[in-house]
Amino acid sequence: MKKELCYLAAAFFLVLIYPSCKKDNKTNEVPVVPYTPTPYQLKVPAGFPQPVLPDFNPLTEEGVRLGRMLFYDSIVSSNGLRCASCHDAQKAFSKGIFVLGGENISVPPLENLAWNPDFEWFGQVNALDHVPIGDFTPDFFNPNMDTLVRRIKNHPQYPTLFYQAFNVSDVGAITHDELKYKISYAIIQFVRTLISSNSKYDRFVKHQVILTPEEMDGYITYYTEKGDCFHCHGSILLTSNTYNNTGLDTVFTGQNQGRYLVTGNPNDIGRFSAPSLRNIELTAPYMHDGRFQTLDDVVEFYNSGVHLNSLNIDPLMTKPAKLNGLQLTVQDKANLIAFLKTLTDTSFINNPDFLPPH
Amino acid sequence: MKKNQLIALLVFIVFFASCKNEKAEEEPTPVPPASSMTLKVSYEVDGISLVYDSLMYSNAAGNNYSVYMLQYFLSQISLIKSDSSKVLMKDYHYFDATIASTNQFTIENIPEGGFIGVSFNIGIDPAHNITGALPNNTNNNNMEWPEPMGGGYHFMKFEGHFLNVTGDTLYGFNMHLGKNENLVKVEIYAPVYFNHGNFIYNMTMNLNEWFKNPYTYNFNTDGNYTMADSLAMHKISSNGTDVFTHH
Ligand code: HEC
Ligand code: HEC
Repeated sequence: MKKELCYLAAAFFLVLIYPSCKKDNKTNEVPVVPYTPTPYQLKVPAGFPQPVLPDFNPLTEEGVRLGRMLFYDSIVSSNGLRCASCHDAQKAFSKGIFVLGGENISVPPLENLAWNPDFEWFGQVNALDHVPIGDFTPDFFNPNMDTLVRRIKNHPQYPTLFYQAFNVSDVGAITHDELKYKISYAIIQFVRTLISSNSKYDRFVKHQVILTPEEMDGYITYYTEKGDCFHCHGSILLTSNTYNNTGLDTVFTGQNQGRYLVTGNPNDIGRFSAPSLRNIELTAPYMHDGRFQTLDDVVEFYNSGVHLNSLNIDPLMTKPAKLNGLQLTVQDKANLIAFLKTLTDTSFINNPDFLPPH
Repeated sequence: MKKNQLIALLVFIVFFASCKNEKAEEEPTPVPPASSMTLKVSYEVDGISLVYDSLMYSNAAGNNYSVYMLQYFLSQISLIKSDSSKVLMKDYHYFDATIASTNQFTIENIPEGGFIGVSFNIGIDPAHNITGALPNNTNNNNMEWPEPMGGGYHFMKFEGHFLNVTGDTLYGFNMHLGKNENLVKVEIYAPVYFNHGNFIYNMTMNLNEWFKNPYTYNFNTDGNYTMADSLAMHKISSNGTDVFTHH
């Protein structure tokens, strides 16, 4: 007998037995709506690498829908805050400064995070799915978990969505910790869909548009030794995902100690995650503490403000051509900023799928 | 369970067992498994194992230096036959010295036989040294050599700090290699024989070899930054042919 035929016969017998076995079962606990989440296909833009997605929180249509609702809903907090309070779509999901423990922290944008290996300014969190757990603290949402459970149960849509997304038919029957994780996982499923890939720069890379002479000149400064921005903010994602000390400071206290606060390694003092420069025009103020209000300030810093004697200064910052500053002319600087503005993606901030659900 | 179900189940089991038998009969007698080779790279500076961010090394020119980053490609990894012809085993591999998992890889299905050595390039061979020619992943993308500088990939990023000539200021150095003319061709002659099983091929990169033979490289006079400096890149790439040893 042929191998295929043989398996076919075996399968046929299985089909024969299965329904008759089931008939012997007395209780029928199949829920009214079956739990059948639909896998969500993340659209990887042309030219982007494949993102690494975790097995423990697979993307589903239902999870993304639930996450999007929760992202825009202050139901999660006792103080009216919601993710969108600090992550504003019009600012590429960033928003100015947040003051924590008396120190300023610049709120980073939420874009293309499916490609990042670690998160926050010092890389405090390794799994994107766990970032929102930190929001259930007194400094952020300060939720009363019993109230949160009651609100979700009384909500017209959430109970069904929690069931459809996570097979949880009663949010009161799981622990508060489990609920926090379900909420985080759903929101992060939505956050993973926040993909920006349609800036003028993206279209330039695909040879669909040409840059103006000013933008082109800025592009060359960015991508050559003249400005040397590409080593840390290069390629399609516009970040190298490295930790660097760019020489912002010479004295390090509090948050300024950077990556050291995570690793405890003195060589990491002053090193910060090199952020993607996508939508940089929209995400002022700049640097981890928001010390620079404008892109002019940032470019002037790289041009003439780098502290070369900073501890652990990145090797890239002490190139001979940089020892007396980049020596960019007024025109060079203006053109570099013109290029930085080609990284703005208005179709991203206006994408109806990313705005509050109705 | 009812009787007819039991019979159906039995028939099912018998069928399944016969499926297995049949499969075994159909397949030809298996050939002995081919060999595999695991290439493992470790790092040292003149016999001292590599510790990052530690100002404890000294090169031939007397520069006191530390190491911050070492990322590079090997390409066209081949075995050399006794008639000097080469058998290509792997197109390319990305190494980040700080990430252990990248510092070894295994080549499967090596036919039985002997070879007189191993050859590869440090860097990407010209046919693939074009932006976008390597698979699109974060490691490869971070090695891109910008289009306005000719495109392709960095062959190596070797970065660290050194004490300047007066010995009072710490500067960075960036030994970046790229461009086809700076491809480093390496051949290591030591016989290897494959006769089933896994063969481990250990190599060590001595970082100080980048700074000597034939050119004694001094950060203060030859430059602490090589990218876009073709003479500096030429010196470093010429020094690169003997950075690896097999043991
Ligand atoms: C009160 C303001 C505030 C609220 C509310 C808030 N965030 Fe944030 N978020 C921040 C700040 C500030 C940071 C940067 C923290 C740091 O790096 O130390 C941040 C960082 C992040 C990051 C890391 C981004 C990166 O590039 O590494 C993610 C993801 C994120 N927030 C998602 C969320 C989600 C999801 C919610 C809702 C559950 C939320 N945030 C609510 C202020 C806020
Ligand atoms: C050695 C790596 C490195 C180089 C080279 C570099 N940057 Fe940065 N950049 C960083 C890091 C790290 C940060 C975050 C620093 C912080 O917040 O403390 C940053 C922050 C920025 C920011 C602010 C981002 C934000 O979201 O607040 C801008 C804008 C920027 N860089 C532009 C540039 C430009 C333009 C150049 C070239 C002239 C350049 N960078 C060169 C590593 C680098």
